Amino acid sequence: MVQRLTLICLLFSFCSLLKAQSPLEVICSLEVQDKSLKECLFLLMEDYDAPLTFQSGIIPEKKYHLELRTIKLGAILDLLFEDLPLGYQVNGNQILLVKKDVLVTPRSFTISGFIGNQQSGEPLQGANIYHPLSGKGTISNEYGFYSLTLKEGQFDLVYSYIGHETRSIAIQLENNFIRNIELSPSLNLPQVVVIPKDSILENQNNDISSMDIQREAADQLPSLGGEPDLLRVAHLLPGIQTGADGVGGIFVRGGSADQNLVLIDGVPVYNVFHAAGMFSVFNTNAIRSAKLVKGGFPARYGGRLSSVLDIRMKEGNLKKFKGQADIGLMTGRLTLEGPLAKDKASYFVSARRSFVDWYLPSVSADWKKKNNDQIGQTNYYFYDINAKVNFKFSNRDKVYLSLYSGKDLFDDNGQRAFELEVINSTGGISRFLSRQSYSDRFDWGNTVSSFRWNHIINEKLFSNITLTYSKLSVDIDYRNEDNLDRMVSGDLFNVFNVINVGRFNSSIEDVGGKVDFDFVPNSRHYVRLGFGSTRREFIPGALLFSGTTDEFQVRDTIFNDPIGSTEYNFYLEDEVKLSKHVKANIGVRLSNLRLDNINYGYLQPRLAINWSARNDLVFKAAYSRMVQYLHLLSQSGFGLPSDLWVSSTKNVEPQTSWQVVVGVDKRLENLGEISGELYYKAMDNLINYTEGANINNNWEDNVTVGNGTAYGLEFMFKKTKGSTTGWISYGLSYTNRTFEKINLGRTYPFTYDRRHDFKMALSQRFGDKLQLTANWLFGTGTAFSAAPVRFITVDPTTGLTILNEDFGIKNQFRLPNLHRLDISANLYLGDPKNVQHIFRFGVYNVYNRRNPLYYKLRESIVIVDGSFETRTEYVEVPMLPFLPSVNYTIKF
Amino acid sequence: MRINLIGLIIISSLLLMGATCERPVELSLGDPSPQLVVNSDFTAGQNVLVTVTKTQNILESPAVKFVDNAMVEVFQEDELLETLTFIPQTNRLPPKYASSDFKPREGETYILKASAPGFDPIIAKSHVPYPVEISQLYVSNVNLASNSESQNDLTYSYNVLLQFEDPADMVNYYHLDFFQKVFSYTVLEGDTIINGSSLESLSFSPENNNNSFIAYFLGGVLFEDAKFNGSLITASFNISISIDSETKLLGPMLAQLRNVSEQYYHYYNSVSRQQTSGNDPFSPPVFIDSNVENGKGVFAGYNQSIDSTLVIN
Repeated sequence: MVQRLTLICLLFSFCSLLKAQSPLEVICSLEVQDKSLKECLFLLMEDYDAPLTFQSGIIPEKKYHLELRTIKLGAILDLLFEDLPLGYQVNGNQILLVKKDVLVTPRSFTISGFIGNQQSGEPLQGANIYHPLSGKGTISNEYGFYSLTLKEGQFDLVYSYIGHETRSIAIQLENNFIRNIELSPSLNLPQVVVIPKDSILENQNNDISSMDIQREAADQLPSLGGEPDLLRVAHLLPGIQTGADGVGGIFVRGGSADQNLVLIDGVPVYNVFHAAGMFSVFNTNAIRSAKLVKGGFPARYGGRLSSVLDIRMKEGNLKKFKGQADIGLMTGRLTLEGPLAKDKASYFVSARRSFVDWYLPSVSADWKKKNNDQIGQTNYYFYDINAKVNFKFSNRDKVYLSLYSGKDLFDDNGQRAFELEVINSTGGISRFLSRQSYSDRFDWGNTVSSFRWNHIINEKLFSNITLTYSKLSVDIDYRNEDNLDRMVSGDLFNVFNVINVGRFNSSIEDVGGKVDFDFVPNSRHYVRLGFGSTRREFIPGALLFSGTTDEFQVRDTIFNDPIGSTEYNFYLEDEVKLSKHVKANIGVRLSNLRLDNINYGYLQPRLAINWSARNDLVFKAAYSRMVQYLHLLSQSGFGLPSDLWVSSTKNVEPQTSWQVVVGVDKRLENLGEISGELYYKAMDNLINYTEGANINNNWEDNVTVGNGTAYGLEFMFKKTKGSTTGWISYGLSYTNRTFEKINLGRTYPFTYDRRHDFKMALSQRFGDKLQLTANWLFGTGTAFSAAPVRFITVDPTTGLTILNEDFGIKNQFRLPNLHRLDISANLYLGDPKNVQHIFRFGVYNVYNRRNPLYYKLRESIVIVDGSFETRTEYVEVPMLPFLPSVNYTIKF
Repeated sequence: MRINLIGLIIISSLLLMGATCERPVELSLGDPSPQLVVNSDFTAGQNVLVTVTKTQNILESPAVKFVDNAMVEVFQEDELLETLTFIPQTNRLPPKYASSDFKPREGETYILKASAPGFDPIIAKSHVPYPVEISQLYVSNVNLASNSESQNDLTYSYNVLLQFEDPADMVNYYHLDFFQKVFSYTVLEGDTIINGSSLESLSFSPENNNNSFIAYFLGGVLFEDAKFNGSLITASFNISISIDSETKLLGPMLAQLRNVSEQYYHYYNSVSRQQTSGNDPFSPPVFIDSNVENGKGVFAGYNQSIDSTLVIN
């Protein structure tokens, strides 16, 4: 009985399947040699019962040599009828062959909606939607929205996304409609979330100079102190430079540190590092996706010259409560998310805090006592928090409110006192007590917030309205006191008391709004357009005080005037399929800056072309012009919080650049992909402090304007299949700068002109429980200046001498080559669907390579043969040594 | 504040248990051959004086190394005007090369050539600009304050206003210097006896430096006329000077306006910047501008006008 019921069910299912399946989707093979079209059609009818109906007279004479195996009938017919005046149309289960001129053109309709994760409801960016019969498809945008226009009919649409089960959904397309789809994480690959079967780095769109960095890459690859860091993964990509151990920021294709547009949910973040570049401000637990663009910028991106890092935060689980706690030697993190109303609203919150302030004060106090005979201590900590709520009001509407806030706090103080004995004019001894103290406090942080409303206006038109707020504020306070008292019979008589107190604060604050539209008129065009405005307030200020008592007098009140500017922009781009093999993204961006009576306007054309020469071979080229109305002034070049963001003004024009890129991607069957790109970038109106400038003074009177060029080539091999995945990259680059008031106006190599740059990131899985990862990088040392000689000039009239150092050419020397190996072992225990435990054991700088941060000249007095001499020598300050780490994560 | 920034980097490293520390290294910076270094500011109607020293490796102890066997010549175009005579060191003045007959003239360009065994010969060129006269100089808002710690110390503060006309249609560079004459006196039986006088150069703080206004490290300011070319310039400065009122009297204030050559301006501009820039790795290096080919230093012409005024309200 059971067997019968099973058989009936199977038959019923089979019949249903047959009913649902279009005759064009029947899988066939056709292997013929020198056969006519008519013979081919009869073969299909005989071998596969192909329901073809036609009149013999309309079948043209043509011979075929074909070897087609396991292909859908529709695809075979398309191939047979290519270049022939013959077409077909489906009537029920029959396929009617007719002349093309009498073929009834079917109507087209659009299906659209959102694609999300079935377990969490998170939108899936870059999911593929594919119509196998026509070969047409699209991908979802950053909000999970998709729109695909197809000819009417009954067919299957295939929805797929990396690490998720592919879904094939039967569609009866006879009008426009919205269909929201959810894909579940792959059931047969339970570890895919933590150990992707495929690459941890994907470029799904084949866009030039663009990469999607998966959050899992940051979690899995070795990291400093075991702290997952998205920017450290970015460092491993070709064309991305940084200083030793990440100090100094990121420099993309020869660009400066301020030329990177880093967006959190579409809002720019100005300071992306904690601890002067050691860690990025991005808590990976909060990241849903990240996309890095180095060139060929689509028109929707603007405002920076060199790169865009577009980071999207998680929305929050719409299905059920989930949590994650992480603890390591450096930081602890807690992440909670869940539904406020199931499938309607959710929240997400993730907080991170460093632990170093638990032990740094006592360690530093001992160090100061031992080395400098000081009483004092140093303290430092940082924290950040990401929070988000989202509400789904209807199938067409979603609103989001997101917040990021982070802060760094550094405190350093010390004091020492000692007695001096001096022989006075009478030959006696005078005793003095010297007391010195200092106290410094640095406090800096970002706050970023956005409100967003996604709305599907109709099946072809999607809108996104965003209100943004971003602020970076820096406060630095210092106090130095130098006191000398004469000691007479136990009493103290003050000789002098000098107190210097200073306060430096600066901030940049943005308030903006923008409206973006995605318009998909048909499967050939994907149009994006939008407009927006941002109001910025800059306070580049400093206050200095000094005095001889506690009643300070203003020695100098230096306040760079606050500057307010408003930026407007409009963009239009069309991703158009020019032919079956050629795709282009043609766009233009208009931007305008208004500030007092100044008005800067720029037209920025953008063009990117992809030519698929074969299924596995794509040639690419792009041109983009960029404009940047912001400048970052840095005296040190080390990416410190005292760096100053300033606006373009009447005297300082906006930075501009143009870049051309050509490239090729070759997919390697069952292996991965190899790609190469060649680029040239020219940058104008760059600014820098004039040599010897007083950085506390009015910045506009202390900067010099110049330009730069960067060119080079990049190769990358990605292995995306198998248990061993990862990438190897090599970059060859040349970057220089020319400023009127630097290096005597001569062109010089940019500090991060890293000629050769080799990077490797590897992941090896051992089943579902264990993963070993490693990364190794090697690069030419950064450029630096040193004075090989000095000279003393003597004024012939007065005899006054002047000691000068001769640096020759700026940045003419190189630090030693930079290289470092990091490894990590990741152990996954428990059930990913319930409670999972992850242990990460890592070693940073395995072979203890002490990459130098900088060299400096040190002079000291030494005794040689009983007499004092000045010894001059170079010393290096090396960066981090061998550092083990251990981290534990629990997901529930 | 620079020290604090270094601290931040070091602490950032320390917190990562990096144990950042300095360690001596041997850097291969090449071994450049020594070059001649000349120093000469010349003006109309005065003999040309040139000191000649040589460069030294940065790792050697800094010391003045005069070159006393050089041949130093002054040309105008291809015409040799004079071979300068070596004058050995005297008590206070350094050894130098001096012209005996030749005195530069306004508006003329001169070439200095120097050579010595073991050095590449150097060549430098400059001219003597025409003078720019000070049209007005006066002092106002004179205030007198006594020092709270020493009643004898008096601090004079006043505002000095100087006016001159910048020549149009040409780039002009200036070195403006103020001097305060101070008399030393004693009171003998009710009579004030002046024992002598000195000129004190009034220095400017480098904290006010900017692209076109540089405190000259030995006094005064250097500036160019980029922002006011061809106009009547009125410059105002606040000046403060302290003297011991029991032994000194304030005399007139002198203003010296040098109209300097481009070579003078750029050389002393860069030297002044280097002298006041931080000696730490966070301060970008300052490159010394020089018009001396194959060598270092400067050979630069200038002209000047001087005016004085009394410091009274």
